[in-house]
Amino acid sequence: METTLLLERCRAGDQLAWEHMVRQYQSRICAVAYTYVNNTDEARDLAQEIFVRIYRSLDKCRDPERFLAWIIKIARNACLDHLRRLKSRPPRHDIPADGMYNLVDPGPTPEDDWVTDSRRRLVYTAMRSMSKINCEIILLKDMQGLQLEEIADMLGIPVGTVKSRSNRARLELAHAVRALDGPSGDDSGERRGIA
Amino acid sequence: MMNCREWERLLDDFVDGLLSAEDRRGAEEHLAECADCAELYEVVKRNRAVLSIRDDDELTDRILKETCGSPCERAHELLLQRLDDTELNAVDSDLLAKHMGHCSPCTVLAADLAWLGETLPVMAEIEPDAAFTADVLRATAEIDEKMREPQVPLFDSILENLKARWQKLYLRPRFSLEAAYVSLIVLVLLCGTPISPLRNAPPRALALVQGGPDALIATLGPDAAVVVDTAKRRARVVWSYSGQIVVGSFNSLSEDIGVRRQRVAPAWQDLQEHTDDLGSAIAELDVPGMSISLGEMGRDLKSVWHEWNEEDEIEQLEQDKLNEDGRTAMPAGSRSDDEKD
Ligand SMILES: [Zn+2]
Ligand SMILES: [Zn+2]
Repeated sequence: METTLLLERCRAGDQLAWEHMVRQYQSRICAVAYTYVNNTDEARDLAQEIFVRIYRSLDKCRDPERFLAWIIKIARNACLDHLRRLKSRPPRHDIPADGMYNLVDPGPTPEDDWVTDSRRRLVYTAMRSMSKINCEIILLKDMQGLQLEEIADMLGIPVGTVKSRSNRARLELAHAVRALDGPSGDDSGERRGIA
Repeated sequence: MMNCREWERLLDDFVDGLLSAEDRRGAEEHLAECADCAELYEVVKRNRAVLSIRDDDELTDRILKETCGSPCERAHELLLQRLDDTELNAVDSDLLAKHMGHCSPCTVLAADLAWLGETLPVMAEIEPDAAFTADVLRATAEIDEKMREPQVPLFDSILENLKARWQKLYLRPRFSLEAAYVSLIVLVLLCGTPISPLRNAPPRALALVQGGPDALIATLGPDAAVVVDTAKRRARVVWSYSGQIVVGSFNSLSEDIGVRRQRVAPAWQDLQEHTDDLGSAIAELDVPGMSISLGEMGRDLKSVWHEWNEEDEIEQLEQDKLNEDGRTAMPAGSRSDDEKD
């Protein structure tokens, strides 16, 4: 269904339209939240909060053509707020408050973790060695596929800077993945499970 | 003194600066004496990279370092460009392939980047557990509940205020009911919607109402789009509230004076219908429809007023009684707003 129409229905209070919208975007929102907090329980709560925020601001979306960028912006703000809140609170021992950019090892993967495959785990782990802004650019550009202009707008930096940073970030991530995956060999593809 | 053949044998190492001191001295001496060899030396030196006399990656690296700098940076650039779905031109593509044939770090990097190019887009989505959607819908439904029951103090007090206002206006004999009723409706819409630019300025809204709905829309100016959007969504909710309050206050006034109620009933019925029309027109932002409904309501209100006031004695009695009630329900300081008509 076309986003403009769907958005209009949601604004008019059509619950079916809203349900459809939630289903359509939930896996993206969950991925964004997870990338920021690296923890399934936290990401789940956060993703729910993000949808509440989206629901409350449906009237404010001026450009349905850029709906994805708009909801990801809301998601990002919610994640940053969440990380700020965590920082100002004493850490709870049952939740590793490692956030997006810490080098803390997540430990063994629980059974109900959203992220179980080794490919994703490898990338998330590699991203922890990177700067915050480079992580965000990887998330926004390479994972979510947003336009350079949209990212520039979101991060408040010039488009040219996003582009050059994106290049640096990808090289940095490639090297970090290589460093984690051991120094040897070109059979990396096989070991990580791609053809 | 070496001959030309011996000198040629040493040429590569001589150009690369790899000769022993003795050989170099010999080669330099020959070079100074022999014009042919000097010419050959110039050519070889100029075209060193192109001629690629020997296949020695280490040597190539050293030459490149002293000339254009490491070519890997350029190779990285092309690798990233290729990753961005930008087709490389034939020359770039060929040069990149040739470079990678000799540079293992770039080859490894290319494999890692390609792997990331496949992996990162997949990571755009994480399918949550099955209960997630239901949890989100429950959470957002709660917001709707809150919106439907206006628990916001501002909203509550506005409605209370309007109720009191309505009762008071109703009790003033020469007040124009038409203006009062219409003002109430528009006041609710303007001041009752949480995002309204006029929500803190009831007197201004009241003044606007005298200019009619067209003036109203015009005055909203650049905010009109936002107001219109939100009004569309919320007007029905707000409308049902304001309608209930107006009807409720009317009924409470008239419940023990059955005769009059019966007398005004037909006109009241019309009024309610036209009020609903106005509600729809406002919700649809249908300005002509609003004008028509307002006109009809004006006529209805006049007949209600006329029927109601036919027996002055009863009316006077009732008014005395209701004045008491009205005063208690009235918020302090709200009187001045209502005195201007
Ligand atoms: Zn010679
Ligand atoms: Zn290279």
